[in-house]
Amino acid sequence: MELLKLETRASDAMAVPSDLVIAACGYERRATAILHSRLRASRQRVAFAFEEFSDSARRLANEVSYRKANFTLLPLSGEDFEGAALVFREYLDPGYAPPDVISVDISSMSRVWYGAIVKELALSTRQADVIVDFYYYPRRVLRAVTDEAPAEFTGPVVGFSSVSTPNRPIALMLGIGQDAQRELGLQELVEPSKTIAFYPDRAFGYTLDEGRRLFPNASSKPRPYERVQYRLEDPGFVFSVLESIAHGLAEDWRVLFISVGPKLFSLLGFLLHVRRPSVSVWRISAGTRRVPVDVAAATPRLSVLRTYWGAGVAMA
Amino acid sequence: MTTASLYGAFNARWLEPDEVAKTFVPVPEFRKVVQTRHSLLLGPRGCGKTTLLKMLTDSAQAAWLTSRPSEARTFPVPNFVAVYVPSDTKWSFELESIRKEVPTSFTVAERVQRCLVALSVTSATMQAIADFKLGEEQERAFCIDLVKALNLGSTHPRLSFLIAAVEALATQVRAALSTRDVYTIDAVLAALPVSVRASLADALLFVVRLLRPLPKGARRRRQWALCFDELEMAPQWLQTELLRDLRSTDQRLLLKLTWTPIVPDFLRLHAQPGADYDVVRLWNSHVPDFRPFCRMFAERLIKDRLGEEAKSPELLFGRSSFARDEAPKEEEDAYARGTEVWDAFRTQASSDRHFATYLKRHGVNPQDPSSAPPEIRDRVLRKVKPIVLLRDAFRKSSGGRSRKKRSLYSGEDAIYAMSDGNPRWLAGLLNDLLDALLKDLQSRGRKKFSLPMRASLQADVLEAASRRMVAFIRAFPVLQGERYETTAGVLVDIVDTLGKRLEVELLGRDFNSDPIGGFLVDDSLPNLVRREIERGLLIGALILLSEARSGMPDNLRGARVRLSFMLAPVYKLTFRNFRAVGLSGLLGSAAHGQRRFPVR
Repeated sequence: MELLKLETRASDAMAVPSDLVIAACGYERRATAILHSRLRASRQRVAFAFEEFSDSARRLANEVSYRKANFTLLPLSGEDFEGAALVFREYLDPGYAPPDVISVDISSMSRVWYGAIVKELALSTRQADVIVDFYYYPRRVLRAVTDEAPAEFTGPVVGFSSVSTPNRPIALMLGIGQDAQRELGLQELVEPSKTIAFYPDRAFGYTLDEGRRLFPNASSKPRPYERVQYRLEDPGFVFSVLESIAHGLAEDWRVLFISVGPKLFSLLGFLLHVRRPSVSVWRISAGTRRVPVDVAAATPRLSVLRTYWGAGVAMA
Repeated sequence: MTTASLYGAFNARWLEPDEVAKTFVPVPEFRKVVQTRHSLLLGPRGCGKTTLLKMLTDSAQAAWLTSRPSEARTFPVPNFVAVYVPSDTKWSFELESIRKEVPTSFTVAERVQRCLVALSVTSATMQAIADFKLGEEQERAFCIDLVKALNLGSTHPRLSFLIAAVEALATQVRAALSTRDVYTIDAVLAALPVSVRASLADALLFVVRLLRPLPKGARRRRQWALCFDELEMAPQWLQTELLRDLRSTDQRLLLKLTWTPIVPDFLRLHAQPGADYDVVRLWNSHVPDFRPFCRMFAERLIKDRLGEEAKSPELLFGRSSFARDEAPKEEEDAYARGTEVWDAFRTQASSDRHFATYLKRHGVNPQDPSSAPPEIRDRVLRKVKPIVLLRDAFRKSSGGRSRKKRSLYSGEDAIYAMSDGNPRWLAGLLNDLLDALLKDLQSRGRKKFSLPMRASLQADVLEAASRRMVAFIRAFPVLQGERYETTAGVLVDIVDTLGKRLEVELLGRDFNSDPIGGFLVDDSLPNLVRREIERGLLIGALILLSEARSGMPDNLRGARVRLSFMLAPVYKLTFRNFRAVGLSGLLGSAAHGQRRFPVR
């Protein structure tokens, strides 16, 4: 299917019934935020349940909540792209009564999982169009959380690699977050000749002095490094900015998209690759070495990105 | 070209040949690479492998001869046509990830990798031929043959169009790959020209074979060199294929390959260094070995950045008593009364009775070290000088030493030492220092800078670089497909464990004139840890210590390694190679211990 259109939805979009809800039962209390909202009339409710850290108290409590809300729990590793893709494929095109509207809460999902969902949508040969609403509950930031664990994985997300011939330098579109060390390390690893850093505005609680953190040597002269601030509550607009920038870069650069920032920004990277396969999407993850951190949802804040998929022609 | 990456500020990969030639500081090893023999260039990331490979190309040679003819003429001219095949981390990681895109068939994944690399070689070969500037008719005839042979349909017979057509074939492969459907991928691969489905040597020779008659520039040269960059990061089948070809390949083909500082086990079994190929070692273990190169490099870079305002590195950055390793009987007396070193020796002797005893035992007056005869100074004082200065700056008992702390890591020799002789790192450090200098000048509203550059400002820049090195080590992923059960098995933890241990050795309560400075990769180390050490050597976090400037480096088993001096400011290290101890003993206890995050 093609990604036909996408737009920001008002945060009361949960009032709209969906045929299928997919969420993640993780080890943070944010995972249950969706259960407290209006999950009206959704026929099917599915939650990927992290196999990792399955004995953490929060994870067990979340599991109880999900079962109470009539969710089917599907245990999966957070790194299991194929497993997530397979499950979603079966729900997306079951052979009869396919869902017309799907809600996906990515807030507590691993990037691999919702990457698999986006990839399946792009590869699906389903005849009927489908609307997929992606929900994102920003986390309530009480303090900067830095995961000091070394990277267990750094590289392309399965399904989102361009494998472009190395005949041009790299332009890095870097979604920055709370971990300056990772951002610095990534820069050293991929050696981009140009970096565009994207950082969220303060509306959702992100307060970053990203310039200083990225370049702790305050004396450094400005290098080919640009900053773009974006509004997390308007992902549709942010996507159009990203697409425009990627388009402008494509002629002279190999574009690499990496987000260590909010998960919603990573989702935009996956969607960008669907529209522009020359953009490679990478991730960096501590995998099983990360320290699970329990964060709460910054309710009532909620971002909803509505995407339209079908066999038609994509709209700019 | 400047970049957001500290070390990428000087990366030959994206420089045009004339720019490479402009920044090229010839090293003796280049004579070996130019030989009409297979070569294996060994060294960590940033050590200049790409520069040397690019300098073999016709366009770089021409630019060098034009810009610095007297220098260029002292080196032999390559008697082969070099085809430089570019690569980088992104390309390597993405090629490797193809196996995950087609998880049901490793065979198909490998075929995709092969075709993409072979298409890149084909394109690079065409580019090398384009550099000959063929006559219009010859280019047209050659291109018509190529279009037919590569089945490129109705492509206009010009090399630039053919290169674009080959890239279009790669795009087709990528599009098929994105479907993740084995049958679709298979169909696209089957339609590709046979030359890009065979070996990489075939991909090159297939194009060359059609070039008849040979153009003027190639007539006397009968061989073509496949200069393959970053082979150490390539998929395993590709490494095996090219390394195996070092033993035996088509007579018209030469291989110029890059690798980590450790020769692969596979190659030891199949080809003999010296007989089948030359080993070119491109890193240094000891500061005095790379100092002359660093100075020449720094002089050129400063001149390039500051133009008429350029000063010598020594004037610009000042001397570093801490980093400088005086030659025996050097004229200038570093230990003379009233010098920084003299003062540090006296202070330490008065606050540390172990140190005072050490001096007395060796016939040195603790209150006046300068009174010792020259041979005693060379033998005793020179050895412990950096330890004394380090302790003087950081030991609490010394008290009130914040100024020394702030300036210890500064000065010309400290910059060279931190770079470990790695040109990319050296360029990164110098560029950042000059940036800081100019910005400082601007903020003070001055037009001319005072010399030398403020030591505290230098120290800030060097410490930031050191911290970025730690961040880089942390971002470098553990071996793909490997899961580590012990924390101590991962490179960043190994580095952190060793760094903290060295800090204790140097700054512990009692003065130690013979501290640990290196590590032996002993037999009892687990395989996974040994592989992590190898990764550390690849990215330059660890440096392989060996005396020989050339020849085959020792096997990793029994090898001596040390931490990169780039890490010195973070872990408070000196720039000396002290004695080595077994790694297994040091890491053993950590392997069973708790997580020790955060890493410094």
